[in-house]
Amino acid sequence: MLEQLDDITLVKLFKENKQREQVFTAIVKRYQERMYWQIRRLVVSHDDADDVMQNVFIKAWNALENFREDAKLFTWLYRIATNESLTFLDQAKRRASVSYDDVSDTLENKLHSEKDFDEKKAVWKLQLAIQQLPEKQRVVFTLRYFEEMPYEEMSEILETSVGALKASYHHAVKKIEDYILNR
Amino acid sequence: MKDFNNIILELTHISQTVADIPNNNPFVVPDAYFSSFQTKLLSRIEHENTRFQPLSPLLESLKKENPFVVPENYISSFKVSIPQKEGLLVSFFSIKNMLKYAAAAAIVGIIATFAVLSNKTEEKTALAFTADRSAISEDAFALYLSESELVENEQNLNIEIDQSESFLVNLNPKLISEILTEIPENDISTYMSLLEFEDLNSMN
Repeated sequence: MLEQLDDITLVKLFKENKQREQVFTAIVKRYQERMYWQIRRLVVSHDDADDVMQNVFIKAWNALENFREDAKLFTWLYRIATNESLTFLDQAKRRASVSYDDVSDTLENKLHSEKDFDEKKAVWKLQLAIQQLPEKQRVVFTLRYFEEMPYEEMSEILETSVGALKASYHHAVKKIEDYILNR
Repeated sequence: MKDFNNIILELTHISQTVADIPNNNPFVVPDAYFSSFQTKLLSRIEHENTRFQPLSPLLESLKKENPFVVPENYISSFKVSIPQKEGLLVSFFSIKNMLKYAAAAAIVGIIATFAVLSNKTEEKTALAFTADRSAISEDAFALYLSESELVENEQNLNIEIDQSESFLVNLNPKLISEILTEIPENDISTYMSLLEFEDLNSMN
């Protein structure tokens, strides 16, 4: 029954402290897959994606009471997911005390250890190319290419202008093309 | 203007190579991960909540109300009044200063007058000597020089002229007593009392 309710009603019920756990479970069920894939494409491994996913929803649980309805719930969750993923990568970089390029290598290694990985296949080559991108371009490319998200929505999530996002996406695609053609 | 809202069209426009790559997801997720995720998440939330339970439930139960009372409109009308530091006014035209500067000016004036008069006397002597010498023949002049002590006097005169350059420094006591005789007794006593007063001040 709760699954039928829209986001606004679910948030209202959560704030009113009515069936909190059930309401929150309904929200998680609704968005968990989309959140997961966004996170997974950024952090690559399933275990890391699972950790980040849990952190995202714990933060959402703690902050939902103060959530203001001037943003969409979906946009708000995506923003938390993106920030948490980037924070995770940043912490990984600090732990390793290495440069960003070395983290890219680590992410590349994680890709190599994925089940069914085949460097010759275009889909995996594309994944390798994505890991070479700077963080921001990687986020923009995954949201646009895989999630097929409109720039306006992306602008709300990343708090960046539409023009800047278009430029980022353009650069990202060109870099991926260059990687695919020259490797 | 091309329709960039269409993601495929936009991608094709930027790069045909990337657009040709199948948009498949190559990653694998463990079985039943999504169906079990909510249960795992809720148990973790419960764990987090118990982990951060308050140290004292009694304190937590008390409402965080402020028992203190502030006078009405105190915050809105609060002003910080910074006292302005008053500067010390010093009058330039004090009697003490006037006397001091007058005495100093009088002494400087007397010395300067004496120096000017002395220079004029020396110039007159030199001019008179040159004029006289042109009217006398060379031999007579040489004879005169040998007989008289004028050469010696001329040397003395040169020495005096040299000394006049450092006159302000080397005043001879006789000259000073002569200068002082020209100054009224009252002025000297006022000046001396001022000097004593200054000395006393400097000792303090």
